[in-house]
Amino acid sequence: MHINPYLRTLWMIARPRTLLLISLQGILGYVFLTNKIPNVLDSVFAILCIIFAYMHAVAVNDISDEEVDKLNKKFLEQDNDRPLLDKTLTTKQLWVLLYCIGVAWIAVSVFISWAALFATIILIALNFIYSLPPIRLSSRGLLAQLSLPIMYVVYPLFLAVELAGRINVNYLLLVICLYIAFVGRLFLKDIRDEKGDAEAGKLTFVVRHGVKLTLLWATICICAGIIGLGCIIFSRTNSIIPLLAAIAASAGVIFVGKVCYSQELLSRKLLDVAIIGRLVSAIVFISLLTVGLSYEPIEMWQVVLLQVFAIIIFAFGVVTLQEEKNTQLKYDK
Amino acid sequence: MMLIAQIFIAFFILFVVSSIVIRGKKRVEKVVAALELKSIPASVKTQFGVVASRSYMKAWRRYWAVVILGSIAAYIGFQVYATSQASSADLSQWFLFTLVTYSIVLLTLIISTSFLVGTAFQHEALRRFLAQQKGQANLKKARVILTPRYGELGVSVFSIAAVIGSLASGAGIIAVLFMASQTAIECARSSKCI
Repeated sequence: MHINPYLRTLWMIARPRTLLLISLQGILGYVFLTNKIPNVLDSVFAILCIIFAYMHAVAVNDISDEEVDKLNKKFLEQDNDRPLLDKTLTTKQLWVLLYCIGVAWIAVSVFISWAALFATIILIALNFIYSLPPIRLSSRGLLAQLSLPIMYVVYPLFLAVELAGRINVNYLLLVICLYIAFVGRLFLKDIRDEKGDAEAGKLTFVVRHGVKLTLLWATICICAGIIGLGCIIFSRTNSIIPLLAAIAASAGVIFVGKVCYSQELLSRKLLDVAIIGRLVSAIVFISLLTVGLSYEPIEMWQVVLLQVFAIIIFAFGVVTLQEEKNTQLKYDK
Repeated sequence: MMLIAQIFIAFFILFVVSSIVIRGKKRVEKVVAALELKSIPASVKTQFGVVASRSYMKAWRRYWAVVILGSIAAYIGFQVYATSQASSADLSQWFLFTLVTYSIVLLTLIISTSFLVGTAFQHEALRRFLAQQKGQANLKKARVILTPRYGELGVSVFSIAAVIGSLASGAGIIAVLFMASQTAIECARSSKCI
């Protein structure tokens, strides 16, 4: 048995960038509850749980969507992150890997708490229900958007509660806002695969209701989520910057959403989707930074300066995508 | 503490610079992949690969020449300046000042040159390729991929400034968050990476 294809697959299905984004939400939750950044050694089991949870979800989805992914590849070049499509592993081998990940996930969650073990078992079931028939939530429109954030938002924030050993009403509001913002993001994720999903009979929200309604609901949820988040951070830290940034980002999301709808080419639509994604990431990051900085013994002007730096960094991230759009337009003429 | 900060910054430089260079290389690879999709003769594709790799090597040598000479010049310049001021000032303050300033200048220099040289070699390769293959194929996609994006430079420069700022203000752990910000930005590039 060659180990290398398995290691390569583990790396592919881990998608480290997404993992980092999910972890940032968990860190935000922990800092919100305890007033300190989590110690890596104390939180190693929680980190492993998040990694296994994500890999498990991706592996199940890759197995169930093998045919759909093949179709989608016809319409759009995809990143090389699908072990079945590029034949790194066979379906049978991926099943074996999936079971190993599941066992490891359960074993690690025992070290956190019994509640964590219980949550893990529920999430393993949810992963199967989400991707596999007969229920297959991924092709049941809105149910997919409502169920996925349980893994991406609620679970890391639940682990933060387990580590911190406390919870309060403000924290629950924080979870709700992050959940709603993430639901909004998830409306957008299937725009890329609209044609292939329709051909394969996978009835995602965008396939059922069209791009216009998808963008509308995405915009509503994102704006509600990030402005709510800004308000919670304001009430917690007295810093108005995240709230102002959330209002500005909401205006940006509404504008870019409209532009996205008017785009004819899919490649440009996807750039707009990416801009909206970066705006949401910006608010989550600035919120985390603000909560983290509120407990650091540094002067106010330094806090404000670092917040402004964060805004500038993400603004440049958006500019990068706009530049790519401009280049596409230039060469289309 | 200062040593830890230096190691921290050094690792970050390594991360940022390597990510910029890797990004540049990946773009050339994407262009080659894009060419594969078009009906272009194999000899033309090979030709592009040869031109790109030659330009890459040339750019790489120039890049390191600029970094090494720039580092030496900046180091000497700051040392001379610091020493001339140190007689009446607190030496440790000056040490901190030169370290921070020197780091910012050097890092900006490294990132700017790597970005510019990286994109320059790509353009050079494309220019030569187009000159040789007039009317051969529709290379729009290749042009889009190779066009430089100054926003990327902005992200890198301000991330470094923020990391150094966090360390200088004593909020070392916040520097780690700023390091993560680059990845968080990149993540929202594709709709699959939500």
